[in-house]
Amino acid sequence: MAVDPHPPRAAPEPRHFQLPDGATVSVRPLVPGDRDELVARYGELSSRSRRLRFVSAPVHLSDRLLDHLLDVDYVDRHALVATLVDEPGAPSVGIARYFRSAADPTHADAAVTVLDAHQGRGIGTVLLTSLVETAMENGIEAFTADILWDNAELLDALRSVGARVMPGEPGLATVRVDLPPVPDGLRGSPLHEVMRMASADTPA
Amino acid sequence: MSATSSAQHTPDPGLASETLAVGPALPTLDANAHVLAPLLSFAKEAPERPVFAVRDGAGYRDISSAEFARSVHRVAAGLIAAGVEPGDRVALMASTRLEWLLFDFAILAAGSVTVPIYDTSSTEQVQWIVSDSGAVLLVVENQTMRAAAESIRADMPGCREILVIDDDAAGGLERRGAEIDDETVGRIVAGLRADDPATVIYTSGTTGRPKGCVLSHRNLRTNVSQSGLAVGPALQPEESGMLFLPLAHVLTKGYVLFALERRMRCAFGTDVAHLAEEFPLAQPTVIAAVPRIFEKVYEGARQKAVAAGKGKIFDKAAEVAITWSQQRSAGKVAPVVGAKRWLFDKLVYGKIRAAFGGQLRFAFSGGGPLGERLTHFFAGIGLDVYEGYGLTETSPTLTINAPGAWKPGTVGRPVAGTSIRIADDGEILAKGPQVFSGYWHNDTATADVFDDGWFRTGDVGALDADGYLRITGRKKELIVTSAGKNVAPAPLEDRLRAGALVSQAVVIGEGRPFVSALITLDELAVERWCAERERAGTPISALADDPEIRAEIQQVVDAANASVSRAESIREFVVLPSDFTIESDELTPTLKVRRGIVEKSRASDIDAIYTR
Repeated sequence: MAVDPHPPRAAPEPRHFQLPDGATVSVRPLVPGDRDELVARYGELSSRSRRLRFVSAPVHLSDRLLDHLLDVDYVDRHALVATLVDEPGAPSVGIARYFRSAADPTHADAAVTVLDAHQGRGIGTVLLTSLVETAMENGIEAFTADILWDNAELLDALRSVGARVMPGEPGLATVRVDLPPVPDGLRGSPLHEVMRMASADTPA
Repeated sequence: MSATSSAQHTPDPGLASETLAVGPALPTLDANAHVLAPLLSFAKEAPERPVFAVRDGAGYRDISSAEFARSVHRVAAGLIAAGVEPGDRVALMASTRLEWLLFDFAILAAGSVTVPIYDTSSTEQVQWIVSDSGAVLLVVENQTMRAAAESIRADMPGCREILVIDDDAAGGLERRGAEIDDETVGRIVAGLRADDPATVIYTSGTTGRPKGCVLSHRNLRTNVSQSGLAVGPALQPEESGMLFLPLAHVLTKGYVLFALERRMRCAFGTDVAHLAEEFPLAQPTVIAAVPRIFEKVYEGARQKAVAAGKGKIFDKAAEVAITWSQQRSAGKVAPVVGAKRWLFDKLVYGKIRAAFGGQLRFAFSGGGPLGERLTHFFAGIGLDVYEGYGLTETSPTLTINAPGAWKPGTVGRPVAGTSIRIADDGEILAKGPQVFSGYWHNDTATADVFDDGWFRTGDVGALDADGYLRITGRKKELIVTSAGKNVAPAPLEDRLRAGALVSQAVVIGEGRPFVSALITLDELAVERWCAERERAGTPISALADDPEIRAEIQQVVDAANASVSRAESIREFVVLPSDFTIESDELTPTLKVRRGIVEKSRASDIDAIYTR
């Protein structure tokens, strides 16, 4: 890994949200100690979800990939984990992250994944909402993502809020979503609406 | 994904000048039009004329239209005697030969539906296609295919019988149908309706199993009229044709129907490898081919020239041909280019035309993109290759270049009765009577490809102000080889990555003669593997060409290949000395593999595969 110009910040505090089905979800930043957790949860992900998340998805996360995924500073490289605090063992069921673009620091590459068994519960919405809030606080103005065209529901939802969806690499759409100009503008905004609609939680 | 890098490889759809192009008007087909009609009227009105020709010793033997139509009737009678009922599906797996068409037409004359299977298909694919289509009968070419099919018989419960062409399946059926009179067959044929299904052709999706495209008599017949209208009066009454590509491919099927309507004689090539010998014997004037055929003729001619010490002359001649055609397209040919072309015509071009038999006047190319340079090269040597565009789902032709309406580098304008629209995201949408009504028993897949009555091609393109379509990309994760074969890389890659030593796998082959794979090694697994062999400490970069590693990977490749046909299988692979990285842009920061970037950054490894 390259030397990081920004010293890592302390991990922000976890926040709690209630899902539409009544369950409580805690959203907390990813920490280096989550390594084994990432490996285990990836093992539970269906091949479809893996493909939608990684396009050409590895069978297991190698050390090199894990190093990259765990290298967060909560400013330029941020990741949030959702855990179901009411359930035994408080299992982690979803993750959302962004990486600030080196070419344009107002842009960040974003992704979200929820375990198959928990998709459709609104966990992705909660994760994305928190991720967008943090991103805006950190001066990010737009999220970008390469999304498989097969992920039609997500693309439709993104389009409906004015995301720019364009052909990219073979099989992939390149998507850009502008974040609201002020943090308070998020609630009730079209972007918030899509995060709610995209609560099918298929990986981005 | 940064905005800057996306701008480099993504055309701005805002620049596309047009979003809709509509073809000329098309007369409606009769409600009782069917695919057999052109053959039957040929046999009735010109019974002695040859309809097909088959290789016989040093030459070709003609088969008259009456003789062929008669066999079709008798085999159809046999199918009826074998219990095949109108609407039943019959699967047909054979190479390109007379019997393929004999069975295809006989299946239709029995009121049933042909389900073609490539002769290169894997046993897994045969099992899926036969069982999914519910075929009641499977006709195969030889005993090897029969043995493979017998091994999966239990998984094809609806299939009552397997017939073998080489064991006189046709003769056997004719005998079984001796009791069925011609009137019975005639009644069934007369009862065919344009909207009845004529064939179910399986195509690979990006994931999952192949899907059956249901094409009706109307779809196929209409598309023949559409191609005919586009070509216009340029074709003479007595053209001759040649068949050498798989008849399971809808492009070849459309070409046969076109030839029958034009009452052309079609000679059967015995193998693509024999074309150099058989083009001169058959002397076709009109062919339809995939880009690979044109590439092969070009490469063959060039190699011959190089071997004779005339490589430089050939290359110069090729440049002149290309320049001449480019200038002609632009409207004005410089006199000096014209003069050089005249000179090279005697020295070089005539020999290349001779490779096609010397009489070829029209060539149509489809199934995949024909390079713009190659198009100009052939135009420059006096052979206009008209490139078209379409999919199995569209019977196949949607757009076509034609005499007097030709722009190299584009796939032409919409054929009659066809509308092409460019969606906001650049996807090519199509509407027309050649567009199928849906996939066999798969409403979900059908709903996915239709949007408000428009068929979503999954390809990305742009229309120019004159209505010519240019293909610029693809939404679906599919590779189209220069042989016109659609290959879904994702399922192959999944199987490759199941290999213990494999980290990443990227299957490539777009516009290439065959499919290959780039493979990266999993560091941990390789370390363990080396330690077990007392080779600990070997750097990963040193293992790319290691014979032991290659043997391990070969096993993984073989396992992946078992799921697909030979045409889709991974013929070559490279073990890359390093894994994909974010720094090289091969992975997005969120670790998604970018195929296009990988193909560029690993270009030298890829070139090594295809120049071996």
